Amino acid sequence: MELTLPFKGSSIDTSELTASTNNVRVGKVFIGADGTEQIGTNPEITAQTVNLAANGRFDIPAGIHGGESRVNQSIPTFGEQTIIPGAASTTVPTAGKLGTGDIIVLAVENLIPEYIKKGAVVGGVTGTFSAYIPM
Amino acid sequence: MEIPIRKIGGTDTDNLTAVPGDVVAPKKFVGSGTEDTQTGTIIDRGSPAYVLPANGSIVLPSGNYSGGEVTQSLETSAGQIIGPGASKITTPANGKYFTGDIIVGGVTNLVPGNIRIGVTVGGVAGTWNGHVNDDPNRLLYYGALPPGQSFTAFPYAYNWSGGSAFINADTLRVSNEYAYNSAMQRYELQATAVVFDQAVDLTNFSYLSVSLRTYSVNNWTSRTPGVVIARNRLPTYLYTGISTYSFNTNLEEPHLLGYHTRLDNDFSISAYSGKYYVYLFTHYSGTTSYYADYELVYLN
Repeated sequence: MELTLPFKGSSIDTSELTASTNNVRVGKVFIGADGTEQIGTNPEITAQTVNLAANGRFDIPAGIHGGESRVNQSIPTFGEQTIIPGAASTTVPTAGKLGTGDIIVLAVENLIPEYIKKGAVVGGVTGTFSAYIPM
Repeated sequence: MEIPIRKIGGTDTDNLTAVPGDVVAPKKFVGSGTEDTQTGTIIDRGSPAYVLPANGSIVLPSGNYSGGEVTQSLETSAGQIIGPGASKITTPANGKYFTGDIIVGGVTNLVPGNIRIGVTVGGVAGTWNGHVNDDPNRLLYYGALPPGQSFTAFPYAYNWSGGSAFINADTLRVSNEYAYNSAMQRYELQATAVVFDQAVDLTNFSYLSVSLRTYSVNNWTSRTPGVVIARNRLPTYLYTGISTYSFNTNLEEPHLLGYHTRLDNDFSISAYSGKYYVYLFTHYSGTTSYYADYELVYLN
């Protein structure tokens, strides 16, 4: 024998329901805005830690993030550096690094025309020295 | 006996599994546990746009995201080459992301020979000591020859020994020794001639000036130092004999401009034009070694 009992509160007022499938966790069953039983489609997103490259981009995945995700960055850095110029070249390894200070190239010590042989151009300075100094 | 309960509209709430923690706030639904309307509690984060500071960190709190992004806009710089010079150079690097290295070049032409002797420039100790002569009409300028110019020493006379000529500090020294000439089997005082290896054009000049600093025998008698010009370069001998005043016959258009009568002498060349080779010679009668230090040989 089957008894038909009225549903408790026998009148679900579906008019106030607003949830739709994309508001509900994937797989979860609910009655939402259209008054019918539906299954949620909003995906679950696992918490993650992202290391962003320099000027990189991270697209936040749509869905329900169950925990805190983090976007970090760890670019190697270089601080202020002072270069004393000389006859040899100096390479400051800055490729792939973030500066936290400036690069300062000092003036070439004693680079004045009087110390340069006349007509010679040293470091952009044209010399004027033309004399014999008894040694 | 089990009495199945039918829901109005045929809806069976037993199937419902959603709880507020499964639904985005403030969406309303009927779900698990009660037939009452429930409200979602998942915070809706929307679609945020974050900008990550350099080496910063951003936390994305739990909740519902419809999308979003984390971006960054660091100022970037390619590699650079810096040419050092007399002034300090500051390359702004603070806060910049570099995609290449910074290369500080070596100081151009920073070699000892370009630096005055006794001083250090950019860590390089200088060795240059002397005058610089860039005028081709100054055959000799305090020990300095113009670019491309050179000289050759040879005997003054046929069958006679010549001495040596070399740059000695800021002069051209011609050195003559009293020595044994094995070919001629005799002792003799060397007599040296010097020819500048590149000809000069005498046109438009009045004088060939020659200055000696030192003539060690200091004797201005005849056959003292003198100057000859010729059309050709012939570093074999100038005169046929030590006491003979006849030119080597292979010299073309040779002219004796004159002998020195003092340290500074101006020899007239007004009568000559075109290209000539300039010869200096030393000759002294005696048995004492001697030398002549030339400071200047120039057209004017």
